[in-house]
Amino acid sequence: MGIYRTVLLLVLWCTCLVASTHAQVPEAVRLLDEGNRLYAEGAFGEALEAYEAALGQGVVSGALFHNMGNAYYRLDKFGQALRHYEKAHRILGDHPQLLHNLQTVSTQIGTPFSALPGPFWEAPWKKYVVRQGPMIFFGLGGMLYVIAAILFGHRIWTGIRAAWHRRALAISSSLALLLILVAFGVSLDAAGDHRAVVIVREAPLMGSPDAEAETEIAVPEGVIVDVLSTQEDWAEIRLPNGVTGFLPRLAVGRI
Amino acid sequence: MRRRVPKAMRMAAFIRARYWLLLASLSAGLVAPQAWGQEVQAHVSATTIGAEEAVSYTIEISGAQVSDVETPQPPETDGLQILQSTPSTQTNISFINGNVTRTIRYQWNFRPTRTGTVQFFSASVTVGDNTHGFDAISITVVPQSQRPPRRSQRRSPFDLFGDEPAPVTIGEDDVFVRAVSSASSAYQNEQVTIAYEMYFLANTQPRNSRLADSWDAEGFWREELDVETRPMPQTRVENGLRYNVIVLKRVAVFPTRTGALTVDPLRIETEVLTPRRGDLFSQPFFSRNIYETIQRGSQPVAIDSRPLPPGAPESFTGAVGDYTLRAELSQLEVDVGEPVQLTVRISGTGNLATLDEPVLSLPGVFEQYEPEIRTSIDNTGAGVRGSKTFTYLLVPRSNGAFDISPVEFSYFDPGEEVYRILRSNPFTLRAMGVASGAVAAPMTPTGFPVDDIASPLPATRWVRYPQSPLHQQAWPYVVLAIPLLLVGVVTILRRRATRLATDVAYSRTRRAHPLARKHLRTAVALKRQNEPRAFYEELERAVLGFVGNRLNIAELGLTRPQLNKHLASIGLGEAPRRALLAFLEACDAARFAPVRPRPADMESTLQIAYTLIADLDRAFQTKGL
Repeated sequence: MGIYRTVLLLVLWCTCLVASTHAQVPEAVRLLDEGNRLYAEGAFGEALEAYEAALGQGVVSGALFHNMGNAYYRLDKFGQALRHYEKAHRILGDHPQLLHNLQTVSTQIGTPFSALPGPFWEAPWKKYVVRQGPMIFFGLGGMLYVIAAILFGHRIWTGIRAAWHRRALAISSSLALLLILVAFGVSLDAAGDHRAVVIVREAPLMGSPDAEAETEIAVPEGVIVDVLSTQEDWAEIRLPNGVTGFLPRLAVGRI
Repeated sequence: MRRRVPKAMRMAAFIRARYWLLLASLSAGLVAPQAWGQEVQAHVSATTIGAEEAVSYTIEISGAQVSDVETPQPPETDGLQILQSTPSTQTNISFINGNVTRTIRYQWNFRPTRTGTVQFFSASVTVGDNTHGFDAISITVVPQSQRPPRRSQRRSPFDLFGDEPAPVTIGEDDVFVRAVSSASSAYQNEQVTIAYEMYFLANTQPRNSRLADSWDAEGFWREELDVETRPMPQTRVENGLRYNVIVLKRVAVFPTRTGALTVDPLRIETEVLTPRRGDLFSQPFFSRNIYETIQRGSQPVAIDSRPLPPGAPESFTGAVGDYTLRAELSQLEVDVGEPVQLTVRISGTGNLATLDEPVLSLPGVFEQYEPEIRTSIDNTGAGVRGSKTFTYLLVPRSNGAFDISPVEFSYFDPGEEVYRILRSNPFTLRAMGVASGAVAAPMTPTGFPVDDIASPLPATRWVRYPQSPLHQQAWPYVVLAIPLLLVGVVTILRRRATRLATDVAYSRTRRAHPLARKHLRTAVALKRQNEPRAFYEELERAVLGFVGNRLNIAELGLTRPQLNKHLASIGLGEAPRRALLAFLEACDAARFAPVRPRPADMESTLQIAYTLIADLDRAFQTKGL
């Protein structure tokens, strides 16, 4: 009786969650369309306000971030534009139009810093795995996991010991385990992504979190940095070339 | 020795001259000399003379009315004796560039009383209400045999057979070139003007002046300044001598590096008039003049080029001078895709040729082309000045109201030694129309605009925001746990089924309760149907069957004593055994009684059966059965 009650509660919870999400979507869609209309009229500031209101509905789509990036671009806020394109990239993946806009804004920004080379596996991991998002791996892995569970249950119930059954069970369970691990790995990678974009024209990189500290270099708008830690009004960051320092927190926007 | 008359006085004299001119025109119909400014100077005829020669001292006033000039007194001297106390006076009227200039000269002749250095002390002349003073002039008196040849010396026409005069040579002081620089020290890229002036005595009459050597100014950017092709000589007194001066060349130089820099001297060739004694028969009474080619050169010009001070603004690109900035937009409203011109004009004094284009800060929606640059330089003034115009072509690629930031230009002001920043007014340009239809921008192979962003996207899939990472959400773990639970359930069910099939005792034990409940439900139904015999039979079957199933014994084959003995052998207490046997006896008695039992008795026996089964189950559990 207990297990039936648990399953029932779980189903009810999922139903409520999905229902609440879908209740917020129509308003978000309306606000997104309003923002697109204002954008088409050239009222980019007002369009941005509509997009922000859509974001306030508690739901988001890759298109919303993409369009916010467009509005910021038109307002010459290239740092914010890049930041929102990167956010859209997390949801939309390698969408051709998004990639084009990312390239365009990156060209406008330019960066004076060279990038340190990463480990050899980082590039293919990012390109072929992380960009797909965790859900696709979790979905495939989950399906194989269910198949493996069915095969295992069948084996228990029937006591079958056929070779094909054993192989199918081994393959499905191994693949399921691998894909689910990859999904969680991608999720952990995304959670560990502490990148941020400089969103002001120029931010002074300080040697210490002190306004009186000596300014080492000026970091121009649009440079993507890694946030190592935050403390009060300061964010400890690492530049693409490995140089670390402190920037005012308001000067950077998390991706 | 020239004295510039104050401007106010020149103006007063000018007004007076105009007044007299008007009077003269009205009364006599004559054109009176017109004063354009007064110049007063004093000079001598030579600075080196023989002991037996005379020297003249001349005071010359230009641009003044005769009536305004008080006859000056001769200068006091040392070692000179005046030959006449009354000066010889001469008045000339000259026409220069359409202007009439009157010149009044007062001249005295002196003879030295000794050799060596003699001196004219300072003198003065009063013109109108002003008195002009002159510096002292020193003269060198040498023995007559060592006197320098005189260019203007002429022999008596009757002295045909006298000694040949000493050959006349053109001295360095007779004709020379002087470089006049506006500054000896300048900041890098600051304008310095250099004028090359040729000084010559009036009787040398130079002609055909030309460059004798190349001229260079290494380390400088240079701009030639205009000079008059037919210059009118100015008169200047230099070392007591009256020279005519013409400007040969003017140039503006801009140091391109710091340090001690030198501008080459200007070397020229010119032909000057040289008097020679002529042939007795061809020109028996006069010497004839011929032109002789001479070379002269100016001194080099040294300029100390200093580096610009620190603290230059970000927009500074090296401009030094004095500038103004003006920017204007050809239209404030334009259709999308239509070009609009932003014209930035920088005017002023400085090195305009090397001015860099101002960097525009435009919204990204604008397509910007290389500016068209027009430079207009005025070389006629004291230095290089003019304007440089940058015309930018901007094409909005999207509609909207766009703020164009002020155009910024900064330069270094060498006079005040500060950096100055010029900013234009900001503009707001409104681009109208529909972007997609109007823009003729090139497209990428994938169909997106080149150098511009693509249009907004419609939304398709929505997710909760902010969204936790997958590994921090609960549902993946629930999803993964459900199959495991199901497998566990299957395993349990399978084991139970196997035991039920193989373990009789277990099977009977598992069935004891359900069967007992089943018989009791049947008994209740029989009680309702008022079937006492069948009712008690069913009760007996329920209790006895429960005991048999729980203990896995064949209960139907046992007599009451055997049952009691078996129960005692497994350790069941006396009380439950007695209760069980009493119940069985009661059921048997009721079944075979001649009278029908009452419903109350039947109900009582039913309750006893319920209680007995529960008590026996507890007792069996206590014994570990």
